[in-house]
Amino acid sequence: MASSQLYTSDFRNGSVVFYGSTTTSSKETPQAKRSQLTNAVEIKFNTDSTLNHPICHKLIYDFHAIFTKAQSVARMEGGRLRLEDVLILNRRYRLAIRNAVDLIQAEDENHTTREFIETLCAADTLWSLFEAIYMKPQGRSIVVDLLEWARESFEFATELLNTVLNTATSTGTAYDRHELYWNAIIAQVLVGDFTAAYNLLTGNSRFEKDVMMQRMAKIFRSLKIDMLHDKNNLDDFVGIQKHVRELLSSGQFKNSNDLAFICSILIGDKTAFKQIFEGLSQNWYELLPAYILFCHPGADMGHVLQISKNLYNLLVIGKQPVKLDETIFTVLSLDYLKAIQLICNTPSSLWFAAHLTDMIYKINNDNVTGEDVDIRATLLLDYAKTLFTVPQLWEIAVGYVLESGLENAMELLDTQVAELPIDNVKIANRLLHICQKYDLVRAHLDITKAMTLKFERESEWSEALCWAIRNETTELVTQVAHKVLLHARPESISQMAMFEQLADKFLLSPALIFLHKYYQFNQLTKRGYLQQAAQTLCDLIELGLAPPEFHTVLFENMAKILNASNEGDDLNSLIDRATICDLMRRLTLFETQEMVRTQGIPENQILERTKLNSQITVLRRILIQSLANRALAKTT
Amino acid sequence: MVSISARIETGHRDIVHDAQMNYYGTRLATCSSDHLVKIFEVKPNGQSYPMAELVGHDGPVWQINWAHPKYDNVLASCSHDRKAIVWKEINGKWQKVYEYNQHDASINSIAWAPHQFGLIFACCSTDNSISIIEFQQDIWKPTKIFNAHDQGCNAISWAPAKTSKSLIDPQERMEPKRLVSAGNDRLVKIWKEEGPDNWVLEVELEGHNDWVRDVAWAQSESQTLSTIASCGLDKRVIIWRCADLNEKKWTSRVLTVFDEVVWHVSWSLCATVLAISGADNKVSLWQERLPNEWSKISDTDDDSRYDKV
Repeated sequence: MASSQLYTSDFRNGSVVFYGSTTTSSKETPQAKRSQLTNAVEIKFNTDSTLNHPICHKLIYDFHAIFTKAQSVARMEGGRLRLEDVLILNRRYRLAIRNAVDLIQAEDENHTTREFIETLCAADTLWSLFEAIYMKPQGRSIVVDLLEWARESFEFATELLNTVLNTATSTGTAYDRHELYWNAIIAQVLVGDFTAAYNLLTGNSRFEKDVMMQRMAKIFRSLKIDMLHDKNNLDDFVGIQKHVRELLSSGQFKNSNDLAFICSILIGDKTAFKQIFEGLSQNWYELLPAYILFCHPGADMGHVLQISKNLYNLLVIGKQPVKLDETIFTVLSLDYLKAIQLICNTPSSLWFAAHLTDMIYKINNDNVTGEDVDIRATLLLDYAKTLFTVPQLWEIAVGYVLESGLENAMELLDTQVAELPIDNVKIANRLLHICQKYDLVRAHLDITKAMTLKFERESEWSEALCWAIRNETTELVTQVAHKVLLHARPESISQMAMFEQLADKFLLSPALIFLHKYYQFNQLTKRGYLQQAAQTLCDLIELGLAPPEFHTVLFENMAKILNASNEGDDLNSLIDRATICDLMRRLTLFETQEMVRTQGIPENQILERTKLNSQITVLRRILIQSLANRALAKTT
Repeated sequence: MVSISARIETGHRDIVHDAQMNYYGTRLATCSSDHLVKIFEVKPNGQSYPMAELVGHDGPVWQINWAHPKYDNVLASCSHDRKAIVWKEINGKWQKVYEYNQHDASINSIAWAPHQFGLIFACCSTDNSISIIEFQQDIWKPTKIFNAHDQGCNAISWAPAKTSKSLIDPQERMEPKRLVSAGNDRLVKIWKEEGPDNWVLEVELEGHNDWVRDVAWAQSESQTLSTIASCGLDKRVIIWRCADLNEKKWTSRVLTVFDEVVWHVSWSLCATVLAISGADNKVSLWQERLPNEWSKISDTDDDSRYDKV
């Protein structure tokens, strides 16, 4: 089939525009015309204000579980779903919606919950309507499919039936005494459940003696809706209606207003429908299936839109259609793209649009495979973006991005995760877990860098270093290690327990190696391994990696440790002669370097100069003492 | 050695979902998404002739099942249109004799009970329930098991009729009727009739990791064991065995894990061969040559591979 289309998207502003030319179909079905993408349709997404509601979260989680299952089953079936599997999953989706409605209704009512309930109820109605139109086997009567929609979606018939029967059971009275008895029968007629209507009627305590009821029961028995699947049976159905009309006009039901009223419905009397709308039904579309059945039993899909508008105009006088009405009209016109647009424009409905579109595309049904534009991917991605605005829903959001099927899904995910706000370590760790799971390199780098800089600003050096190491880039590690050496107190370095777990591979930079060694020096000193400690300290000085400011610390440490040794009884120094000489050379070299480095800088700006000179002098003296002790030790 | 003995062009206009030979192997019934059930006469030489086209369903017909020949030519079919229909050949013409429409969603599987129990069929549906319908004193009497499986029931199969005798009561008695069902709750469940119209869950068999698509109870006991095969979306075929049904101790063994989803399992009449078909477009036949050791006896992929329509 031929089609051409393009779309542009502006995800940041939450809109996408689809353009397309007419698609042609290689398989025309008598009842359904293919949806034609002929106009530019802009789908804008409303920000979802209910996302923070806990019941909304539950709904989102439930939907995600079903969505995941749908993807898993479809993967095994080559990307499509069998009709039965679609219907099973649809039932689950709708059950999740109904459960959410029940939960919200149990809460205290306010404006937000009322709105949410309305959205959910509309979603349930629309979902089953989409199923009736787009997800049925071919070769069926749209009239029958809409009646099934009525039975599945409109609860008034079941509620009335249950009320009448349950009350009768609990009170022990005959259910035909219930004030709603006739309403219950009418309701069954309106959803095409003539078996239930028949059972209610024949259960009437006066049935055996009431000829009119028996006549009506016979009519109910003869009305088999499924026969309408075969156009050849239309005459039979119309014949039944004609018979009812004759019975009515000849006064056969004149002694029963209720039965006469039911006859009016059966023959498609518009006045009867108006009365029902005023008394029984809250929504005009709840009468649509019955209206089509009794007024246009042979209607094809192509007629349904006009019939529905006629019904709307008949029942709803003086009011413009609301969004749900418009959406229903659009679904019935087979312009499903526009219907999705309308759904997306409704606040708090993106979750619905995304999942519904996913199911429509999954079904192995020619009626909807004509579209090439990947609206599904776009909706899933935008839904994911909405979920990313709520921290509790990030992990789910990731799943939707990955399942969108977009070629650059990983790249988009990487970018999205990298841009998420990080308020604390817990969130950062959660995000890193996601990065690790899906190999999101860029996000990993951005998150660890952000955390590093955060702790740097707060002078939390140990944390900053940890995050820099997790970042695994040498530049950042070096930068932070250098800052630690410059700004951190030596005692705090000696308390950086992270070095205990530091595997060699994390020693990414010389500065980090230096810090690690300094930490080791401190640990050795604490544990009393003074000789090793002294040797380590020598290595640190030899490395020459410390910033000049840190040399003060090193010299001070060396002076202390050697002085303590010199004052002991053991004349053997902690370090050997060669090392002592090396250190003395090192001191001289350092002094010279310092002079060169600080040349031109005014004396009063070199704050540490006096301290450093003093340290060097002291250390030199101690080193000479150590040398002398070694010489004495040799001779004795 | 396994080989194809005949290919039959059914003339269906859409996917054929099921094909069943009758008891004697002289008739073939097929059903399809084109809403039709077709019946063919099959000759021993493999030639086939269309006999009837049964019109009555309003949706894809998922499964058909022949009743025992003692009831003459009787066939049951089930469909997406929520109906199960019983057809009977009367004076050479096939007619609809009963229509059951008490399910709220597609009826996915249908099976006649062993003939010793009478003319009874069971069917199961996406609405989670199972129906057992018995023809008694000229009327069809349904019994329903509600909420048999969460998220839909996919397949149903009857246990073979068994008689039992005891030393205390030497009169032979029929064991209670039993059914096995498979559902999207990943479970295989065994149901037992404890009294008239009273079916209870006897055992839940866990072993599948995903939707269970089909289940078949072997109609003969193997090594005095009751045997059930099940298959599903997890690509596994599991053999379940039990020495004494009243003990309710079932063991399971994964026959094999296929590369693709497995759709159907079916036992031969003597339960010596298990046929398995799946999304890999292959049909394989397996035989238990040694206890608990199954071998694939259909080895030629070319012979057993079918292209998707």
